Amino acid sequence: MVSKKTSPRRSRGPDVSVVLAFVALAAILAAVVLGDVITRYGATTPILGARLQPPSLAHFFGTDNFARDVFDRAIVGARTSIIIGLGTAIVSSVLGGACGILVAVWRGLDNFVMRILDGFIAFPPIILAILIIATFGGGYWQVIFALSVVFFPRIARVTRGVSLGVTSAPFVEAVKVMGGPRWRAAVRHVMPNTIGPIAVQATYVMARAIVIDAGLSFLGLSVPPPTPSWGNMLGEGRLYITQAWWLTIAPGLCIAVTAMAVNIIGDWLRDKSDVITGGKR
Amino acid sequence: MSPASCVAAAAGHSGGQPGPTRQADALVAVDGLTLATWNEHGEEIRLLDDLSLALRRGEALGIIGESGSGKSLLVRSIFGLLPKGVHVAGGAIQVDDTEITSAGAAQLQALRGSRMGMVFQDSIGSLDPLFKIGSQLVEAIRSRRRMPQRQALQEGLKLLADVGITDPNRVAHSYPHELSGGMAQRVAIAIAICNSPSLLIADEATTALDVTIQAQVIELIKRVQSERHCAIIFVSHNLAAVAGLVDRVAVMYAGRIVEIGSTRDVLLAPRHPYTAALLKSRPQLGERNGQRFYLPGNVPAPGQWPSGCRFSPRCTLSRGRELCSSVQPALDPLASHGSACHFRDEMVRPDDALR
Amino acid sequence: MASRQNSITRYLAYRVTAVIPVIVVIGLLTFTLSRLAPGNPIELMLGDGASQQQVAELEAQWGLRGSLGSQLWHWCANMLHGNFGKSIFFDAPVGHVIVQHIWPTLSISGLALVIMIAIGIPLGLIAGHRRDTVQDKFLMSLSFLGMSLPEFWVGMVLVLIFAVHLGLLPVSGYVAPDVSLSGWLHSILLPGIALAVDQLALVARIVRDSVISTSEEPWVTSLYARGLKPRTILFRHQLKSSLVAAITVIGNAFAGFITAAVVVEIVFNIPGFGWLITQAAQRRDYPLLQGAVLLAAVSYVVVNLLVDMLYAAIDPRIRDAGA
Repeated sequence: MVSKKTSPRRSRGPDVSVVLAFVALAAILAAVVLGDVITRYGATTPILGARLQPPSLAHFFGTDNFARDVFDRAIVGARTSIIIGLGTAIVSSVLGGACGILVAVWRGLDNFVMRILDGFIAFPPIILAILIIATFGGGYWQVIFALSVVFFPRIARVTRGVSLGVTSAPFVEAVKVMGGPRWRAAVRHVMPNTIGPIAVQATYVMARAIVIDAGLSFLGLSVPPPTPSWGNMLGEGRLYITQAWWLTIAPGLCIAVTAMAVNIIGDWLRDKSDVITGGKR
Repeated sequence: MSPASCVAAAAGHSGGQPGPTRQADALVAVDGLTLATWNEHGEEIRLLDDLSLALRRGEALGIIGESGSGKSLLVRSIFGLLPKGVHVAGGAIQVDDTEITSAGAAQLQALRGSRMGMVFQDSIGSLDPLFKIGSQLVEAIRSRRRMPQRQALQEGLKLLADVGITDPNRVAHSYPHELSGGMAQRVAIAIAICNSPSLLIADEATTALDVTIQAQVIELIKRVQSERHCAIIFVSHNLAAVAGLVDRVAVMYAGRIVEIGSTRDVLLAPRHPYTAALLKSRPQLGERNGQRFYLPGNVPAPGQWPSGCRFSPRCTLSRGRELCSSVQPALDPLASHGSACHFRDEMVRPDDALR
Repeated sequence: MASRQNSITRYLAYRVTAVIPVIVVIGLLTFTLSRLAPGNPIELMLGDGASQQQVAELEAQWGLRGSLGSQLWHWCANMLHGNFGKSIFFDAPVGHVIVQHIWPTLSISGLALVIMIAIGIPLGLIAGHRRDTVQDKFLMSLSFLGMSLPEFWVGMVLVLIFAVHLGLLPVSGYVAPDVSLSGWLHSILLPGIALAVDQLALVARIVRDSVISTSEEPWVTSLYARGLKPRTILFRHQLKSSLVAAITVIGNAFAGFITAAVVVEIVFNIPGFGWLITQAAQRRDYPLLQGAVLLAAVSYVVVNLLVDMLYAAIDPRIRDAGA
């Protein structure tokens, strides 16, 4: 017969992967906050006679071509990635959220604004980032701005979808009929409903931003040296790929683990919000 | 239709004795089948309870019951198509010479489509929306017999004409959503019988159709039975629908068969209070407002079956007698007209149960 | 049948007109952003030693004198005549430069497309069919991994394993197919895989989701009841159902490859389209930059249009809904 004779498991606690993700993220945040305090040698200090050493107990991630300890650089490099990731997530959420709500409440703007947003989405993301950074130079704010421009349309779309759903609800129509100013309706009724979906999208944006920023700093287009970032560590390590595999693996692993942890938390958030809204949207 | 005229129509075509079916010459033999699932606390809940049934070759059997009686589960289990989480907790099902409950997936797949076919309630929904009718029909034919595409298509067109479709060519080139419900059901029947199965199961096949179309589809199924010597199992909640079609009727309630016998016997002289109630609650010509009989209460859900006879809480025949709420009445497998009721002999006339 | 043709052409016409404002926006964006950036291509090219006069002469030659408005006007007017201008650095028509550099990108994108389809779809089908089993969980974890990893890093790791360690494939460089077919294949294999990884994971997920949801539908039960082989049901019927969603992702991914290839091309030293755009941006080579970005955006839009057309071809209900 088609079905098997096994009893269904009772509901378990949170997944192992979610727990691990939180642990990883906590460790990374610790690195960001404590930074230089916990480094053994210092991120920019060359260590005599220890050029291009493979990983060991003395140097967890080995040393690079300037004889700097890679593990320490990775700790300090966490700062760049997290700041840019978080920054992009926040800015694009605010921009995208505002845009989405605006368009849903003032329907007249809908078509016009959505066409422009479509233009942004069609614009190749990396190119857009490159253009903006070429225009305004490198640096934390410029990169955050560039990446936010890339991501905010997607958040705007999601917010617009949710807001449209809410604004067609009878009570909002009632407020409009009574002549209350539209923005009040927007703020009080629409916004709370959008916070959940935006938060979920924001985590994905953060993960993507970290990855794209890694690419940009690999190209030398993000926060300029000597500030270490995982991406430019990869860029420097590339020249020694035949001799020093750890220069490629270590920073890449950091990026990968961070991005995965954020994605896992994003999925977890989405599951939670599905439960709250009672099932699939 | 009054019971009498229904039965007259049925009696017209069923020549043989509607007696008990011996296991030996049975096409389908269900023996003590128990189906169960688990609830959210991990406890086992029975859905079908020690059910036995037999069907002869070429015979038409109707299975009547309300939702929750388990009738769909019964026919699905004959097909080996149980939903997720439902498993066989006991008993056996024999179709021809294959034991279904212990059969492997490959064996079951071999049986389906070639020895037995099934049509469902949602006629349009049971066809793949992305493939044309002709292609689905050809696929079914060629899954059992090697033949070139063109030949299979010819055969398919003939089949479509056989099931009463006036423009087989147009239908073959259509997609399911372009057909009407009745047309789609004819197509479904065509696909189900294309490899000449010996059993056709119709699971609420006419429920979703307009009344006039219902009659046409039932006529079609009758023809399938007589022209192709195919046994039929017709599941429905509507007694009138089956009356004109089947030789025997089994009435189900809360996971068990409560009455089984020839259509004439069951409809004209029911021996179970539930059957009597079902018959009585059909709209009658000439009844005035407020006169319609209805049976108070609901069919108990699996897991909440009362002890003893499951119908006793709603039964007027029991009149609160001890026996009814303590001992589960059994269905006599050898009787030609069986009833699972302790006081079946008190039901001389159909209305006896409803006093 | 005639009405079907009409509805398709009408649908197409609608989509094409909807696309025009998008292209206009992109053109404007590129134009403005590139001009806003500090740095003058002539000065960059000539270096510090150039005299003002030399710079002014070349600027006039390249049409860089005059207000932004008039420059924009000239660019648009020329474009409508099919004249995209000359690349400042390559000193060759923009069109030629682009065509020279597009083949490597198309090669690796093409390979990535094939990998996405040939591996992503079957994986998704199998994972969806064996839902919640070990295989499914394993495949989904792999897919999750694939989606979170930076593409260029995957490229570098692949180089580490297959080129440096095992020596099977080249570390970098591109070999044109007319020079050596096997050389070409060797040079595009690793970059193609790197490019495909995260989209492949997404495709597998989408297909899996589709299989799971269609398994609940009545027609799938009916297909089983007809006695068809499970393999046929999965790889013929459920596959077709999943295609609509899958094609969205695949089309999107392919359109995005053109530019997502940027970093991969740099990792592997492949002189492709992405590399070209980066160079153009850094050197403020306006005509080339504008032409290339416009092409990238237009191709993105065209691919999406093709995807929409494919939808209609696969799912007859979509066609008829448009009528």
